[in-house]
Amino acid sequence: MIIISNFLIRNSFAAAETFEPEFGWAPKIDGSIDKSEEEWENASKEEIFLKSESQSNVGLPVDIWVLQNESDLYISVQFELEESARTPEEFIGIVISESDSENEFYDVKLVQFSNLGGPSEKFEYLDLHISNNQYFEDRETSGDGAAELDGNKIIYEFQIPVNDSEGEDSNDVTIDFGETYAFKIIYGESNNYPDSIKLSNIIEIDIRYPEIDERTPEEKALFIVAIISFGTLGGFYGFYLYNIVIIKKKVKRVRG
Amino acid sequence: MPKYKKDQKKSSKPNNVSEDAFLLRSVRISAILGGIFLLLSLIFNGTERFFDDLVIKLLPSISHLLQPDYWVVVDNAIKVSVILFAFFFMIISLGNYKEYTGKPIKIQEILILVGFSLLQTVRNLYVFAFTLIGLVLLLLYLYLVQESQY
Repeated sequence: MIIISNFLIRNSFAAAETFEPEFGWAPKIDGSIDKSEEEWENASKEEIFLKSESQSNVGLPVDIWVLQNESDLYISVQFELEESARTPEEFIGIVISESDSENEFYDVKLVQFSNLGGPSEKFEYLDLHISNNQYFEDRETSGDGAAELDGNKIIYEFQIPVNDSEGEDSNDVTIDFGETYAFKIIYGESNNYPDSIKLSNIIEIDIRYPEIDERTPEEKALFIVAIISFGTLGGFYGFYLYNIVIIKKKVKRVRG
Repeated sequence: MPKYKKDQKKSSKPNNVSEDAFLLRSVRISAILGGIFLLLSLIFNGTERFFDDLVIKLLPSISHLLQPDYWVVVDNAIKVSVILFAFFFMIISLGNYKEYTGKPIKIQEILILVGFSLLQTVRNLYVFAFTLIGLVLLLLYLYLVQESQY
């Protein structure tokens, strides 16, 4: 029994947190959060710890914000690090599983810094996929990502398309409504993926269906009235246009 | 005397013709513009697609510029504006049509146009209220313009 239970525990997978994101207004993906415009106002917000494989320490505490709308999923990863602990080629990536399983991680959205904190600091959004444990760049880039360092705090923002059947890319995981997906948040210190990944943790996100517009019976009745009204208006407008067309003849007859 | 009368008759005809042509052009152009705004009003006030969040649906990239509550105000302002523009152009067209046919525009016809404009607002109380105010102001403006001409 002990052997069997040990085997089960070793292979079981528990996400650090499960998110059920609210629907909200699309935030601007620029690495900063404008509170005056209530960006990320409705986001589901939780703190998790990114851990190394050795698990010798508690890990890096990061705030994860998740928000959804009809077309995209938005994830923000925020944390604080002393300047001395930062590396110039820091990155945060989101590895998306094809399901809620940890064995199907495939699609990678990543923001890679170069010269972070330096005079020529810049970042790059990368859309990658995993094949044989190697990271390859997608043929087409989907989604968006940005980051900004402000003092010791850094904010990463990601936009990931949802239900994107039209622009489907074989290198991307198609995220469907009503499904749960595992997302691995990865932190690393250089662009040598996946070897440079230092810390990671897994979250689950339930992708919710867009809220169905439930109009009240009164609103439905008013909609029918509006349709009848516009139909009548269209009829009168057509009659008026006909009168304009024959106006010359009409006037000639009256005057003549 | 006869010579003078004959000259006067000759010179008045081209004026009437050009005035008629102007009226007819005004009737047609105003009716087309009225129709365009009527169509926009149908899209914004009559369809399900754009009834809520019309600006956001047309221009999703600017959704972050304003808070959701303010977008509702902008939406309603656009809805009121298209109805008022449709009314304005239609009443100009109808007025000139009547003038072309030699009859004055009747109060019933103005009231029918007002009624048609208000019919477009049945789904939203705010749009109804502001359209009503706008229509009263427009009619007042047109009345005062007419009065000052005579």
